[in-house]
Amino acid sequence: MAQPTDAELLERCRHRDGRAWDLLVSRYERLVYSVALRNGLSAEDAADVTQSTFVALIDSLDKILEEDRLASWLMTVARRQSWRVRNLSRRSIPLEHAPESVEDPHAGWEAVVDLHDALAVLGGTCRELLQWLYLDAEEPSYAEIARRLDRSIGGIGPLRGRCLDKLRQILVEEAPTGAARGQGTGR
Amino acid sequence: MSTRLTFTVLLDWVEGRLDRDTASDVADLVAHADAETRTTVDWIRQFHHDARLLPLVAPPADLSERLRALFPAAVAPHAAEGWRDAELLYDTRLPQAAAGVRAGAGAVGEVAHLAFDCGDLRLVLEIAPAGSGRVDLRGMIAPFTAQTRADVWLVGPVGPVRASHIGPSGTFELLGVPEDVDELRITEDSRRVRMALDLRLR
Repeated sequence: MAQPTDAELLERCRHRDGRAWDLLVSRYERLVYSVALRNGLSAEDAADVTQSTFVALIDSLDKILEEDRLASWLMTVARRQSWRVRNLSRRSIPLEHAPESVEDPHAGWEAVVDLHDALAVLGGTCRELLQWLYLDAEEPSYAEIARRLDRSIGGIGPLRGRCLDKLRQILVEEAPTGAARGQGTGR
Repeated sequence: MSTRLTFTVLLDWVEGRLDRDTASDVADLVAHADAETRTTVDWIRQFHHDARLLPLVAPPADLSERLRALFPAAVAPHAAEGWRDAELLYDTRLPQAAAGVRAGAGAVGEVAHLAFDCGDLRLVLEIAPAGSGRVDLRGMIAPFTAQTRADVWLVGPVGPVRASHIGPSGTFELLGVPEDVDELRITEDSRRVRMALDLRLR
């Protein structure tokens, strides 16, 4: 059965469908949590930001206009919340406990946002496959991915090629003139 | 091999998944390929770069559980029955620390301390200014008897806005809370307690 799009899940949430909410959480909890971590937060603060980002989503269910860009909406909210928490934390963290350096959270931000919006458009098995293969910090094996997708391990390689080619077409089609050819993957 | 390289072959080559001889053949073809093929190779490399910028980390299981619990709590905040209302014992912002009376006695920016009681549970709460219409909350409930889990929820005019796990010593901390939050709820196993809040530091 085809997986519902983000727009379909948002509409179902507006009608208080808890199952649709669970699917949205499953789809985006790692992304939101990872944005918070990327912004230099501790696991505890990242959890708080993740929670407040999803609360903001509930509050904004009727206000989100670009439903096919939910990924970038969540990433933007999570980044703003992370900045706020970091600013608050800086007041109280003893110097000896402050991190020596934090990875630049701005590096490549637009490319990452575009990538996740394009993955949302791609949807379905392809989205899951590409996320597991190229984005998952745990780097699951082909065998593990084949098990999750209930497919033969020999089919994973060709499928990833077809899926990534589709993702490329989505990104290139939405890219402004000049950015589409060889200057980044996306818009 | 066809001189027209498919996307999947190029992907296999970039990712080093071809045997040595085939990879060598593909390398020769790419070196003399048309602009479109070279653009595809560049795109694949850029994709790998972009994908590595934000590795996706799975959140802890208890956070996932709380995220799912947000929705039913938000869309039906009064669906769960059995809430008991705690009474305000004292509030350092009040001249006489009189329970149930709101007043703006404290100076702007001062930390306030409150206590609530509902018979078998007491909450002490510190409200500290955080700027921009927000406050930091630090609290402790006693006695802390949770066997499974305990959470504190903050509810504003539009529903729950924040939630946090209560630590094993009964303490919790919520930073940067909007001042318009007007209710605090505690769920500790099957115990459910709520209390009205005024977070404004005047």
